[in-house]
Amino acid sequence: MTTPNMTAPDQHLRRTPLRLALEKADARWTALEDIAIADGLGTVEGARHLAITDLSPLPRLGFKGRETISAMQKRGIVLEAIPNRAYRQPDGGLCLVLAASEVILLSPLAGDNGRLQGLHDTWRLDDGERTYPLLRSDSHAWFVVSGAKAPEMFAKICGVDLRLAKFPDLSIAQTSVAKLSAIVTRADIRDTPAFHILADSASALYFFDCLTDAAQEFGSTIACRTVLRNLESG
Amino acid sequence: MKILKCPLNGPRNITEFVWGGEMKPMPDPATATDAEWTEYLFLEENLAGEITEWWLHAPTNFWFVARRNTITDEIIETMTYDAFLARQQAASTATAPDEAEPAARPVTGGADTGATST
Amino acid sequence: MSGHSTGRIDKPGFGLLIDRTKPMSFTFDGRLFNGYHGDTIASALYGAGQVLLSRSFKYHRPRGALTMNGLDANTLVQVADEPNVRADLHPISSGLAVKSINHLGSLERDAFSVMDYFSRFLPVGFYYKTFFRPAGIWKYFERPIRIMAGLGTLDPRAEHKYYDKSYLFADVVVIGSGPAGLEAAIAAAEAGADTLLIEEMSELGGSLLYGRIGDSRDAADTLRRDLVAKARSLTNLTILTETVVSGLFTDGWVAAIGGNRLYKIRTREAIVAAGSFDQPIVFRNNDRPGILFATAAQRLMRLYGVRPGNRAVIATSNAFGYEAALDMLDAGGEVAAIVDLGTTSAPAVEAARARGIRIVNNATLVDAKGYLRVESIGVASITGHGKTSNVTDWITCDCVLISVGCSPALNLASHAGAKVVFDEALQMHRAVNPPVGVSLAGSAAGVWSPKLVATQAQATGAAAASRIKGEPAVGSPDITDHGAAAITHPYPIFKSGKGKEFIDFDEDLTVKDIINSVKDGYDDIQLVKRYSTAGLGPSQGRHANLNTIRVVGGVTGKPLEAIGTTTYRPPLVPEKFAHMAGRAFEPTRLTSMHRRHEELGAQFMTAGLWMRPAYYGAKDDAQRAIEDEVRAVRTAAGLIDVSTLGGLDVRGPDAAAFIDRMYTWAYEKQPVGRARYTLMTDMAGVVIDDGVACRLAPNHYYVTATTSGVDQVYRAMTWFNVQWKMDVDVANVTAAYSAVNLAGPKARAIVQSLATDIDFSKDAFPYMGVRTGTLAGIPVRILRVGFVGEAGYEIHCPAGYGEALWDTLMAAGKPHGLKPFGVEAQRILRLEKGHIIVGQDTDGLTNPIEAGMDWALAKKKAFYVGKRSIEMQAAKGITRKLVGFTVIDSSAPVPKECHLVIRGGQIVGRITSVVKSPTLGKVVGLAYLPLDMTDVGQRFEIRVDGVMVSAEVVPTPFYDPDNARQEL
Repeated sequence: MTTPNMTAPDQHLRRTPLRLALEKADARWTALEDIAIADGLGTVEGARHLAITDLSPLPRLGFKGRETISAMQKRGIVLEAIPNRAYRQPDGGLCLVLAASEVILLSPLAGDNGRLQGLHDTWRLDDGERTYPLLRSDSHAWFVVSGAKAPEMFAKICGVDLRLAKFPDLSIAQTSVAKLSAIVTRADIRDTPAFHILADSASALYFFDCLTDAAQEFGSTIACRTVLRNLESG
Repeated sequence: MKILKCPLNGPRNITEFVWGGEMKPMPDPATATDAEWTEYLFLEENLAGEITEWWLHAPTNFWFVARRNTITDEIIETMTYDAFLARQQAASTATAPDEAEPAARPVTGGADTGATST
Repeated sequence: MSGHSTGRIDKPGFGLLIDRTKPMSFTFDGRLFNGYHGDTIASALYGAGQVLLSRSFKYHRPRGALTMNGLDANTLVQVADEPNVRADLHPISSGLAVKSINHLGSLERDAFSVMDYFSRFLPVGFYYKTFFRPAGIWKYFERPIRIMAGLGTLDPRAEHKYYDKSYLFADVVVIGSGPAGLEAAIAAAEAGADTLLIEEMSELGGSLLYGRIGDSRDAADTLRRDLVAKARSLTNLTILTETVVSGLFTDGWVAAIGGNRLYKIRTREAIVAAGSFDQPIVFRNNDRPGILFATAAQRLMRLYGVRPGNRAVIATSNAFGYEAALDMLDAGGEVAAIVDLGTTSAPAVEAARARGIRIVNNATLVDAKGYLRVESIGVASITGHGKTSNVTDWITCDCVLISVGCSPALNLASHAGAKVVFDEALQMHRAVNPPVGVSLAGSAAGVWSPKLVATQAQATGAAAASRIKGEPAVGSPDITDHGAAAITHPYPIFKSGKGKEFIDFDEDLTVKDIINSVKDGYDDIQLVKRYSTAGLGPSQGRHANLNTIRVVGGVTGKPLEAIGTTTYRPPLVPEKFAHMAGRAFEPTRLTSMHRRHEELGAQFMTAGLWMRPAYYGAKDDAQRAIEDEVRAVRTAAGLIDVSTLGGLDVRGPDAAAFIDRMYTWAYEKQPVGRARYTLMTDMAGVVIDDGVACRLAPNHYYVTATTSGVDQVYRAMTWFNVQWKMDVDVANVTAAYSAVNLAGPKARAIVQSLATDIDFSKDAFPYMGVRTGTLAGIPVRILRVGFVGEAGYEIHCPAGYGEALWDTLMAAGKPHGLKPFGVEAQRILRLEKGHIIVGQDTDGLTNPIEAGMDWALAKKKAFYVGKRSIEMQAAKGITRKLVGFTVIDSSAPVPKECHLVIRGGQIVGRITSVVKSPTLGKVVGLAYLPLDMTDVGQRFEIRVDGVMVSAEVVPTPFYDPDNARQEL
């Protein structure tokens, strides 16, 4: 694998809250806009079995307010007013509908070429749209727990039944995971079950410890965005 | 552990919820007597039987209404506050047809939910 | 001789669970014993001829295994640092060190066994009757009593082990894998339900593992193999072995323990197929080692290949006793006699007769000889209800197998809310009206005949699946097994007048104790239980309750239905605290700058879930470090991480009106680009939080809240707006923003040295101004606020940039003498300014007037939360007020927070904050005082660790009273 963008987290203004844990896992770092993302961790096979990946450096943006659904539709986001459903976007990103008044938009694995930043920057309070952006890249860390063993692992830290048959693709559970409020979204990567978790960025290291501890008995690994992209491209 | 059904998120362990107190109308602070105001603040019905309460789903900060039987420990039903208002209005319309008011705007989920328990 | 003179049976069909190719040795009280892989401690010891396992709780009588199923307290042992291990469940492993418990000296020669002779001094209820007079006597007796009566030993240095918890989800949970459990689970799964079968043993089958069907062992074995094969073939049937259900709760919540894991199972239907508990015969010395239940003997033989003895006497009132006799013969042992309490008729009776076993009808056991193990048994004829002839026969034996009745395992159904009633026809208890979603199968439901068990259990499983699918059930699980009436003898209690006939082995309670409880006036079964302690031991009355009820019935003359039963409470099996605790999930929140604090040698303190630097430097030099930090802020500049501060974005057309309703001051006319102090009260007018509201745009406020208060503030705001329906959106953005406070005379020079689009000049960005822009490429919201009383900037940025912001400011501040400072220095700095901390300088009753915050109350607003109550309090008049003070004598001891203000020997006030100010060189603080003591210059006394210290009311701020510095 070529690594043209090798970098160090400190060379960028933004940093993932999981930096310390990923450094311990001997991550290499690749530049992604104004942040470094971990690379060189895990394998595709591992990700199909059970792996934990930090996607926190990827863009994500929230909108909240009573007219959020229509405001998003106006912006060409694919979604419906059904709470706790996720919608795949044409660019491969996700729109999580958390409530009739709230969404979170997730970048595709490849990154979004500044699309979400653009949505943020072009929003104007004066437009009176009754939807308001939220900095979800900063408030929430973004983990992916992928692989067939993921539901079994989740049973150790989450009271919601996340078994594949009971929690189908594009379901969302806003719940408590390891005593931390979290948004759990199932959005499979090709045929590999993948659970995207958004949780308090300040608790990210704690949460990462809980995930790796719970996953250990199943022979889990730490993976990286490149591995998930390889999963995605088949 | 008991299960409580959140109108937004469905059935969940009751540990995900925070009790918000009995549902009771606030008297107009401008006109209430001191005694009425004090009773509103500090006296609870504490009924043995069916009661109506506020509950909060903590992970989504979603406030809703639950009807519970304190004798049987049964949670009879849960609903959004707007659904609760609509029902109250329907009930008052039924008893006093002359004073009918338009029903509250129905909402899915609720206006002030957010996954921001941080 | 083959070398092992043990009771091991070397025949096919015996020793199902052990692997004879894998011998292993372990120690018991330091002596080496051999066993096989698959053995439990108790089976290996029994196999090696060590029948004696423990000493009893009170009288220190020798005891051996009773159930071989983890159901009695006789088998409790200590394994390394773990007390109260059940030897009949715990597997052996090579080198395992097992110790017996509850004796002085050795298990064989227990010095405490003299207690047996002093039993007349230990009457029932002796705890209540002795030791209470004279007052205080108990403390002299407590320790020796606890030593004598203790079971295992706790080792406070025991290593922490890894315990955790896991949820499991199922449509149907079946508890127990005997014939009923297997049938029910298969039926539920075949009907399409996602089924979970839970079994305590390592193998499925329950009584089919060791018992017979009719007189045939092969029939039981074949049925077991067929059912297990069927169960394992079903993909929607999950099997969990070596896991025991300890409680069954509301809404299908099942607690189960498997190894070091506690399972929290959520199911829609629970089927209790947990079988039943054997019941003892009560006779003199019925507790001698070697006397055990017939099923225990069968388990020993079939599961572990251990014969319980060479020569058995069997006491029975049903076919099961005869079946055990056949097993004893098949295992190569001798059966000296079957003592039948009645005249049982069954295929096994005929088989036993055909094999020449002596059968004594209408007789019972009345006495046992032998101390460390039974040596002979006294038999007498039954002459009436609980009455016998004199001993007619002493029969030599080394083991006695008991089967005189069963008590269905109703504990779990009872946990779930079923009523337990006594069924006179069956002479057993029965569960009635279990809650929806709970059903019983097999002997737990009073069904015993193999054919009926199959029918009833299948119907139960199918009915559960039907309920889930919302379909009508096919076939009824309500089946009565009339034949079961022959199982349980109505009164197997034979009191001989001297010696001890045990009813409760755990608690060493005899028939006499129960009778005396009733005679002492405790004639209700619930009172008998508590007074006598019957059923309070580790086996929770499984083998004691029924006989206790029978004795109480005998004494009171009440029928058993009328006596009722005591309440079954969870847990069903011993649970460890470690199971309850599991893995600790204690979220810790770290700011984006946390790593930098670590690198700078910060000592951390917790603030809610957050970790915050208390100060930077070595612990043993804390005082100097804190004072240095204070000095840096006052003379140059300091930088503190305030990311933990709460932040709320309030946006929308009604934003100002909403803030106006939530906070006490007035905000509608607040200009854009300005910050204003916020004080929040609850409906009762109590101060609950404070912060500042920054008007970033006409329709956008950014409101800060305290670290620990923000969650409550956010909940309150959203709760009110659900009702008010104002056109505003409230978002808790605490985690989205990191923040620092850069404070000190050099603060402006530092920010001005950075690339920025913000004009930091004094006139362009005055005190209480708010600006948004970029600083060194980082998007920021900057507030000029003065918590520490110096010119300063509270700089907020998206959390992802937090570390870079810290790095940038630290580098820019270096030439200016910038130092990082922690919470300790900040507390001093703010107190020097007389600023309050909500929650420290206010309590659960403080109103704004008492706290001296009346200036923050808008008088003209029609409404704000708390307004009505504050007005009531204002009209009524307050009684205390928060004032600043200083200690007069600088050499006096320094008061601490919560030290009391004393006047005329009475407590009249309290210190809320106090510090020896490094800036001012004197002790300053805040205190609540009665209104008539609050004038400046008034003196008062503080009690400091017993010494009275004089203080004087002084105005605040203590430092820079004109607030000139923060506005520079």
